[in-house]
Amino acid sequence: MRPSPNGYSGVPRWVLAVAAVGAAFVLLPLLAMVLRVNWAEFVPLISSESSVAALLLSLRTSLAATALCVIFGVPMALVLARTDFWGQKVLRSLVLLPLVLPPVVGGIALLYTFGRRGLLGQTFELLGIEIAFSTTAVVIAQTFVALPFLVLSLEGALRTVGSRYEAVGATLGASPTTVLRRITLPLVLPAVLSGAVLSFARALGEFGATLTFAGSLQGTTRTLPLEIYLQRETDPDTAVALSLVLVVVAIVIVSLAHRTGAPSRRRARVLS
Amino acid sequence: MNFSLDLHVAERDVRLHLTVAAGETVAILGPNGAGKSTLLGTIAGLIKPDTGRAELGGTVLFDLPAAGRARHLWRPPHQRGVSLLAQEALLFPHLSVLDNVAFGPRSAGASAAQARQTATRWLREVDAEQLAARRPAELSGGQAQRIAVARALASDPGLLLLDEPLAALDISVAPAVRRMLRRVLAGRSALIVTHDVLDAYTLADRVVIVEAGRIVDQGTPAEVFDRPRSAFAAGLAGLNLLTGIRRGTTLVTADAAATVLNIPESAVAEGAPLSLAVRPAVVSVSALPPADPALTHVRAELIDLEPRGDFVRARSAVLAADVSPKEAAQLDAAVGSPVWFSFAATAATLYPTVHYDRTRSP
Amino acid sequence: MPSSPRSLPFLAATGLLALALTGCASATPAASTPTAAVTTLAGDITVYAAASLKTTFTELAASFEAEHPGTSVALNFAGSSDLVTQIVEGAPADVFASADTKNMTKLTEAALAEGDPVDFATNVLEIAVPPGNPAGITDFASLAGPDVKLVVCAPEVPCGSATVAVATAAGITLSPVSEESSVTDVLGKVTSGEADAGLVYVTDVTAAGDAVEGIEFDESAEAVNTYPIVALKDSASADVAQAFVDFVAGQAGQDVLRAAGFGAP
Repeated sequence: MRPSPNGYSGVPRWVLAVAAVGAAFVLLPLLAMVLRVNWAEFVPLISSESSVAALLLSLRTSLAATALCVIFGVPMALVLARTDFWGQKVLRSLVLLPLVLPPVVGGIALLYTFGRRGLLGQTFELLGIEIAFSTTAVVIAQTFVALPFLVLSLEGALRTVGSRYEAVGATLGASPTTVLRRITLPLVLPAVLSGAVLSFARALGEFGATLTFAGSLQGTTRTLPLEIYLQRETDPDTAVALSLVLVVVAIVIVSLAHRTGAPSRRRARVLS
Repeated sequence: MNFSLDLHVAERDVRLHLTVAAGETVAILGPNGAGKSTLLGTIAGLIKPDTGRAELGGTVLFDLPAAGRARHLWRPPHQRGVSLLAQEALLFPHLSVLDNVAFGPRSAGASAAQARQTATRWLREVDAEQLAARRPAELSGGQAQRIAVARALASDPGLLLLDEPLAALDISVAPAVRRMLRRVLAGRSALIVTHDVLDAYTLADRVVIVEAGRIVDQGTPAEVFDRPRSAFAAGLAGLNLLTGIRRGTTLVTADAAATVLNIPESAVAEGAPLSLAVRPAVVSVSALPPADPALTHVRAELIDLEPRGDFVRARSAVLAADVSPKEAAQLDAAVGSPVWFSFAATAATLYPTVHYDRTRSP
Repeated sequence: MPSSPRSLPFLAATGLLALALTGCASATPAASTPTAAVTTLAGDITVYAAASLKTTFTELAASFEAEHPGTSVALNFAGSSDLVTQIVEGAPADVFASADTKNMTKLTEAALAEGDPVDFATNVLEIAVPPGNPAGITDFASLAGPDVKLVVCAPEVPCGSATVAVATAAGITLSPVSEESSVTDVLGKVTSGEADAGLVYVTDVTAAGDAVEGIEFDESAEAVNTYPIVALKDSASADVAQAFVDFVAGQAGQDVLRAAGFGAP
């Protein structure tokens, strides 16, 4: 192991041992899965019509969900980090609820809201908008579970950066919107990006809420996790192969998040 | 532009009335916690007071009357035309130096090219034109503060607020920045909060002393520092201040704690409050009464001897004297016992103790 | 303790009697003859059963335990293929009841069954609609109507392959809006009102009570799901396991299953 730049890391050796056990706990199941893959059939399995349809659908919906997370999450994070009003703590807990709710519970809640007999269901039906069993429902489910990731990471970054620069900008004559555009957002852009990447990863892996709320139909609502769940019944080889695809995509995404996060560490050093 | 302010913040116990004439630079000095930062914050629009009113060049910045009256105005910071310069430069880390300085003009609606021209001009004013392409992270403290001054002035504010602008700078760098400030503040309305008497003397047309949320003195630097009315002002000016009642040729301090004998003639009437200011450098200390009875002298317990570079400060409850290290060594045994502080009558300034009248304008 | 000559034989007799009683009360060791008398049956078993058997098997387990005090039946319900996977990977099951023969075959091919599986019930499909039948479904053909939101099982699961068989036999092309992985999810979409109709088992409609209305159709006879049950090898309580299998296949079991809507094996 390479020592830290100044030669002293301050980490006791037993901590390293425990960390290694923890890492093994996470890595061994991945390894076990990789060993079960039917490599001879791998390419035909993952390039079958249903597999490709599922993967493309997953990517499309996750991208849409991520966009929605950014559009709604940035303002939410700003309000939570920069304003002060009665009931704010309660609101924050509620907004972060999808993080701890079992996704199936989230799906049920969405059903009761947007379903045919749901809170808003009648209104949508009158407007001629069908949500149930549509790709829109998938995007809604994914946005619901992924939104807290962006809000949480961005709110943290906003608090760390503080609002001193915004105050200076205001005294120089910049309106609140100009301050947001030219000062706040550029300063927290790395956090927005890494939050977006995390949201994308969460949306990609979303299963329970999608299953309960959107249904499962190839090309429309059967995302990759749902396809894996189904293939499990009859064709374990396909299920494992597709699982590996999902794992690889997730690893790529997480390393992207890690790299966009690094510039923010550099910037944090500059700010301090 | 003319500026006037009435301010009341109950939470921090601040109650002030202040004016700045067009083109005037006013320095505000006071002990920590006196309310100076609150003052600047309310003028800039970043802190909301309980009641008060401020007006700049005819535009009302805020008007918060005591409860019950209808008019209530709070202009947001970006509409006030007031620029704030703090101890830290706070240059926007993601913009170049030039774009930092151009920020104000751009926010006001100037085109990118125009704003950059204005920015270049101001960078030249503060002797920092060659830094235009740099990033804030690449600047030294002094350089950053210069850019911050340029940035604050580029937006052409009606009033410039400076909050201890030189406090974070190296001793070697501060003088040059101070000279630059003197140059660019000429003809500008400015309010500068500082702890440094040199800043007051160099930059200010008028000095205001704030203690415990109230103004306790105002005047030109010479008026305020040659004849200090408070211990704090005297400390800033580097003067001893004795206040008390005149009794014949003596000055009796409050609680009759000390009696200064042989005070010089003054215009102060018998029994009237009297202030005496004298520099520590001209005061001598001796264990025995002074040989020359014509000297003004006072007997007080020697509390401590503090080395200060070339000399040592001998402190008592009423007076301090600067003595040589040799004399300090001789006095060492006398610490804790009464000694005599003496000085030539001509070296002291006597004046009536007049408390600052807050109702008097400005 | 007094040890007079007269009390010694008395003590010895008491001791021997106590020993005999404890010997009788201890649990019978495993893998002995399965022909023990009904009243001396004792042990714990775990039954892995298909999700569609939930209500019936819960009732049957309770009756079995009542008849044989000293036994306890733990139940694990899930999709049949899930259960088979778990058992093959070493899950501690004593009895397996599958919703179709395909999954049971996986088990017998893995040589995990004790003896031959016994068919104990059959199930056919039925149309389920929300109360009030909002889409006005009448028969199987009307499921293919243009505005009908139909939900079915995916072909990979037993109820799904039955759906495909029925549709093929009837010569009708269905366009479902969703193909679920379990019949429970199909039923859920119907009861919540999201779907206009769903294809589930007869037993599911019976179990759902007033939450759905059932519409039987003739073509359902084209796809009959047969339910086999078997005791597993290496069971710690083989006699209890086999007794339960016999119980389910016997009269008591059949009565309960019939009442729930299952057909004869």
